Order: sequence, then C-alpha cells, then structure tokens
Amino acid sequence: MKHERYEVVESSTDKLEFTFFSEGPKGKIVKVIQFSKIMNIDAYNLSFGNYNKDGSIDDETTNDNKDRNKILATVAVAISEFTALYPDKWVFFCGSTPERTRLYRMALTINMQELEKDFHIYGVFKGINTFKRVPFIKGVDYYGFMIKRKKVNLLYEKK
Amino acid sequence: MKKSKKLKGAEAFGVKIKINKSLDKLSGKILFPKKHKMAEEVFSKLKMDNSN
Repeated sequence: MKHERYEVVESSTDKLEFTFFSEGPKGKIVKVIQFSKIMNIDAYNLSFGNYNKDGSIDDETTNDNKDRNKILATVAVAISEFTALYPDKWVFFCGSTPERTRLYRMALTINMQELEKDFHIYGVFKGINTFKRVPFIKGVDYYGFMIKRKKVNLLYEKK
Repeated sequence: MKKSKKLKGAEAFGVKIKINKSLDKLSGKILFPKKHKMAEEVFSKLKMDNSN
C-alpha cells in the first residue's frame, strides 16, 4: 500500500466509522467508511460513500474528484486500523455495481504483495441461491471479497 | 518484558487516526443498508472451501 493516501482521518471511539475529506477539482467532499456488524456472525460489512451535509449517505454517486486511488488507499488504512483492533473478525466488501467491484479487485491486486503478509484474502462467487468463498486469485471476477487478519504471535518475550 | 509483535494499524502507514466522539452517534446505525443486506445474504448462504 505505497500509494498516496489521505492522512487526516477521524474515527468513532469503537473504530467502526471513519471519515476523511476527498479533495480535488470538485472541492472537498466528506467521505464516511463504516464497518457494520452482520448479525450473529463474527463478520462486518465494509461500505463507504459520501457523507452529505444533511446527514444523508450516498454510495452511488461518482464524484469524479480525480482521487480514486487515494480514496482506496485511505479505505485500506481504515481496514488495517479496524482489523488491528478486531483481528478475529471477517470483513466483507463488494461494489454497488460490477464496475466498482472490479475496481476493488484491482486495488487488491495492486497491493497483493503487501496485503498477503498480514491478511487472508478471499473472493466470493455467487451461485444459484448460494455463495462460495475461495482464495483470491488475480484476474478473476468475484461478487465480493472477504479478508481477515492472519494470526500472529502476540506472546510477550523477555528483553 | 516487551511485545514481540504488534498488529499494524493506521500508524504503520503514517496515518494518525483521531478519535472524533461526534461520530459515535453513527454507531449502531446501518449507514449503507443496501450493501449491508448484500453482505448478510452472502454470509447466510456461504459455502467455504476451507476455513481459518
């Protein structure tokens, strides 16, 4: 994740919501990222979109603020922060359109080398009334994606 | 005693996350209901080829 990212990011106390400003030719746009808990499962849905002044949320508008990669890199930072606090939780995400899902796939592919050091990464296929999770492979179209922190040794050692 | 390894959060990428308590009012609300429903559907019908 060596891409340029927004460095001023705020979060709620429980790190389930994050906000930052997208800045570009269309001006400053408040972005909100949310990890929403999926009932009865150790998993969260990741979504992000515009946080409008009236408090409404919009994840379907294309802003064309010429900072797409910077936004995706900032979302990746939020995922990192969230999973550092909740390392045993799954995070699911997909695009609101197939084009956006492909964009997320590109973001995963570009950062794969870095990401797979710390995360299990899976693609999700949609079948007839079923979904299947498989290890993520570059160049394959998926319905969505699931990631989880790899287990690390957090034991204490003597100095 | 010291921690042998620390989970990488935002700071590892040079980003300092500032807590904004006014965002706490969003907690518990589902801000993206359409996407949340899609995720719920996935997990309710998910078959895994292996697990971690």
